[in-house]
Amino acid sequence: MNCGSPDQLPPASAPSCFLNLNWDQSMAAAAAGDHLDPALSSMVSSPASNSTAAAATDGLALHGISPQPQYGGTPLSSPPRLNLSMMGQFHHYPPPQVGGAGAGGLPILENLMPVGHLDQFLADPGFAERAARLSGFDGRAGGSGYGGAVPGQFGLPDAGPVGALKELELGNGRDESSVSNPASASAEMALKGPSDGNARKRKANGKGKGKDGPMPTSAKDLAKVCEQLRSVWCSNSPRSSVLEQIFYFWSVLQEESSGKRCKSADESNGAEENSAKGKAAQSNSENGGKKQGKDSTSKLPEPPKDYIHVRARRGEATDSHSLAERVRREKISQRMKLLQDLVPGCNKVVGKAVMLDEIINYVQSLQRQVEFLSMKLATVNPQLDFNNLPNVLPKDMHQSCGPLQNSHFPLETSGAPLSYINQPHQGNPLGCSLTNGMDNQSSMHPLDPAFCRPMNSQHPFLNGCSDAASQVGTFWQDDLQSVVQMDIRQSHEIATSSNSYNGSLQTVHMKMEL
Amino acid sequence: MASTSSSTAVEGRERKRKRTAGGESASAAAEAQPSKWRTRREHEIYSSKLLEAIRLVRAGSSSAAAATAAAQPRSRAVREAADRALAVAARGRTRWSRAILASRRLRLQAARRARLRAPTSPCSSRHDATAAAASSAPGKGPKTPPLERKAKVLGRLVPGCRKLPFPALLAEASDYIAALEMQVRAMTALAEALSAVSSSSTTTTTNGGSSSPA
Repeated sequence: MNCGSPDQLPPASAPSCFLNLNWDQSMAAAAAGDHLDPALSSMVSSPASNSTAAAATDGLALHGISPQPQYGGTPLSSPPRLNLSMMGQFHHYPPPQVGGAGAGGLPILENLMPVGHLDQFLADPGFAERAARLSGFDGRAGGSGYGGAVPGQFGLPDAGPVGALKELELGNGRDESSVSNPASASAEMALKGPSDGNARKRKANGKGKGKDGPMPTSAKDLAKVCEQLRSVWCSNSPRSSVLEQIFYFWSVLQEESSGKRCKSADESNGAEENSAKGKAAQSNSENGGKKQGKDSTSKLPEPPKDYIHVRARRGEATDSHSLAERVRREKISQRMKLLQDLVPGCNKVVGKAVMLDEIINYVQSLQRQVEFLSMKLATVNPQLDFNNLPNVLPKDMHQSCGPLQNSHFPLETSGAPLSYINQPHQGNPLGCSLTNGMDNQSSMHPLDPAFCRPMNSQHPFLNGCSDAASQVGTFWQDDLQSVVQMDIRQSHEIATSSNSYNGSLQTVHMKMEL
Repeated sequence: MASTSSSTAVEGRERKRKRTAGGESASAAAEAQPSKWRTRREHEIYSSKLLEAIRLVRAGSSSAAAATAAAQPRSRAVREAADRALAVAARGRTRWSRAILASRRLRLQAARRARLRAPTSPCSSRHDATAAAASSAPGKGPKTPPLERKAKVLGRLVPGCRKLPFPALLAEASDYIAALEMQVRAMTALAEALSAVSSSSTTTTTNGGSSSPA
């Protein structure tokens, strides 16, 4: 049996034996507990008679509540009723609750007992839960964070249980929820602490900074946390820090209970966030806080400002899917901005659909321009001496025509049947005689390796281009009809552009002659 | 057009930046961005490649007797050559450039195989393909969101990007647009220069011809 052996840490054993032992001690050592004395005596008596640990602990807690004048009920007559309510409150707790119920009344006693007795209590996982709960109440009742919680809690034995009991009684109340928020903040942080494995860090974090962690939703988490807490305890960490941790767990449970009553959705969200997604969890708890406010239809203030806003965006959904979705959307909007700069006329339009339309039109017009220009190039002067061409071409060729051609190609999509096949003839009156000319002066091999070489050096799959080039002439004959169809679908702008080319041709011609 | 001045301003800025910042490093950094298509260096590279390509096309078409029929096959060949040159200038870093370079070979192989089987089938198949591609399919389901439809159209326009997810498609499209713009600029310049040269050469030949009998 583990009773009385603080070294061995029972995972979730029935703590009733602990309780009996400790209460006896506490009763002996307790200072005058004011109004709590009769309650304590009843508490002591009831568990002894009670077989069920759960009922006992609940009864204990209730008895703690009962003497308070605020509740207006007779101390000892109210217990049965409160018993039920407490049972109802804790009823949905997972099994460890039963084990934890054994320590239900312990926080109250804790205030009366010297700290040294906590050793045994610590072994009880449920005790941690209760303690955390109590700490939550204390935090609220004291009106301060957990900074001065430890001595404060002991210094306010009256206020502590009072606050705690009030919370228990009100259950759903907004006070509780507002308490639970800082409580849950520190509790969640505390829960994260064990996972860090650093008790000191936990203590530092718990000092009211409220760094958030995932909300515990499963009993396993609590058990795990208590295990770690126990390990911390064994490592002789300062007692106060451990107490704080206990209180944090308590508040976690508190939060959990209220959460389950108010909002199950947030709980499920919290469960999802149990994997170390701190950001989401943090904003989830924010949302939880907000939802809680909505549920209780109260003027719940904003989530306390001691949350660390990692990158909170108000009103945004916070699960991993929406985070990924948001990242994707931002990527898309970035690229749309880039496209907006490229495509002329996109600055005025707003919206993806219209912009996509513009982009599609622009790409189509560019491709048509290329078609037209290739047609032009194909018909221009095969008799040119290509070997000497680079010398003959104007040196500033690249630059001179740059500004020209942009203005010649307005974005028009009105399709007009054009036989622009004749355009080259118009635009090139001098060259029309050359269209049929087959220039044989080119001594270059049609499968010029010089052509393929620069390509091959970069793209090995161009090795087949030598085969391809030989097929070019006959192959494209087959496509004549398709090409003609595409030509007919060309837009009106090509006619205008070709006309403007005539003018530019003259100017270039004159420049050349000069 | 405001876009014209802005594009030329951008171009000028780009060139200046390229010259001052050290061409290699800047170009390496801007490799994936569509702004690299505006540099003068790219322009020159492409122009030289284009020249080579056209030369070869002419040479190739001159050897084939059927090319005398019309200018269309040659213009098509020129266009294909120009596109290939553009894809080469992209150095294979973009999807569309790889698709252009890959598709030609595949298409020719398929055409060759088809021609061996039946002389008319490749023509009709390409016919249908181009017709279907060119016209937006009227039989779309009513539930297709318009954005998706448009994205599909854009995917068909940009070579090799039919099944690309939307953000990647946008990136490819922006690079493709920039490259196309450069292609148009280069081809325009080349066409004008060539025609000017050809006109000057023909005038000299006609002058020489007219002077001979005298």
